[in-house]
Amino acid sequence: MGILKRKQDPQRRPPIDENSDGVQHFFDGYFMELRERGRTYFAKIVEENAAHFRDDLNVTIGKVNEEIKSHLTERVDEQIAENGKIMKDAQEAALEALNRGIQDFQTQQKQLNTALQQNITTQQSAIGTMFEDNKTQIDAMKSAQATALQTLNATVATLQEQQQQLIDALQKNIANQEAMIIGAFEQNMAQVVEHYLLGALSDQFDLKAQLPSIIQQMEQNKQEMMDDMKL
Amino acid sequence: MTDAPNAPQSGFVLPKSLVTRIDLSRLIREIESVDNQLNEARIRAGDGAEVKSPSLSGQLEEFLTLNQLQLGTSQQFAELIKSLRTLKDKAPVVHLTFAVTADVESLQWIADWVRREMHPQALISVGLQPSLVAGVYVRTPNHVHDFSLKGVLKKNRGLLVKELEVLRGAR
Repeated sequence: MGILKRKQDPQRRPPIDENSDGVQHFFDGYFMELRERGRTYFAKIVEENAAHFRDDLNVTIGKVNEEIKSHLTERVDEQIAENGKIMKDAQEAALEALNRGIQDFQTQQKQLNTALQQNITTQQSAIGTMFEDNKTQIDAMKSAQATALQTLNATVATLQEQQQQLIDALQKNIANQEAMIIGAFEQNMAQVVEHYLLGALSDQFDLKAQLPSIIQQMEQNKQEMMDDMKL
Repeated sequence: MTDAPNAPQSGFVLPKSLVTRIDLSRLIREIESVDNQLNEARIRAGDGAEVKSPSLSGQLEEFLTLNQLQLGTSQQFAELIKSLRTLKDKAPVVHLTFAVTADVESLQWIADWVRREMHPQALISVGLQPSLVAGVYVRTPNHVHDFSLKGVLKKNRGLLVKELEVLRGAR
């Protein structure tokens, strides 16, 4: 592209000899016209080059755009293809894992079923045994209840009999107590009367007045007293 | 006092005034005192001198009179004292418990009766128990005789109970 060539400086002066200044002034007008012409021509060239450059640039941009577009499209396609492959691999792996999980699940389910069946069998056996035991125990309990009921009835009868005996004994005891209390009262009454007599009659007798009675009583027991003193 | 022989101890006649063992002890002490006084008088008077007899209590004089005793020598006094001590220890004692305080006359009367009817040398021991009301509670060496009114009432308590029972039956 020749548009980028170094421009000629129209105002550049060639070395002038001082002896030639008069000439210089003579061509000032001419040079200015030339300079004007050159400026116009240069502007025109620049515009033309700019137009060319613009066109080239547009073309270049268009090409670059197309290249970028194609490159991007290619990259996107590659990426999509890669992603698709990855997704496919992932799907396959997931599918494989899912299948494996299903197989494991089925295996576990089978084992579980087997264990469950065994457990159910064991439970049935245990329940059967327990049922038999419970049945035996219930029978034994019924028998024990019957025995207990019999014992209870016998105990009730015995208790009733004992109660009757107790009532009889109590009544008898009450009667005895009553008689004893009355007896004690009579005894106490006798003591009270005796105490009263003793209290009332004390200090009422002089010894001299008692002497005949005392001598009489001693006379009656004289022989016994004499025998005692002779021992 | 002459040297007349003493009566045997078993034949002592006790005076009426000597009732209790305390009286007998007092009599023995008086005899000992008389013996001591006579000895002192003899020693002071010298050998062969006549000594004056000390005054005696009525009880001692009665005792000597009843038993016809004449005390002269210390030997006689000693024998009498020994005999009386033996009598004091061995004489039968009749314990009499009265409801009231016994007067001397009554006691002497009872002692006289006991000695006359039971034992001539018996002694009396007196006690007081007002709850007896009347009568006497006699205790000989081995027996007890309740002649008190309290004893009579107690012995006949059954009669009162019987009367009460009859009264209860009548209701």
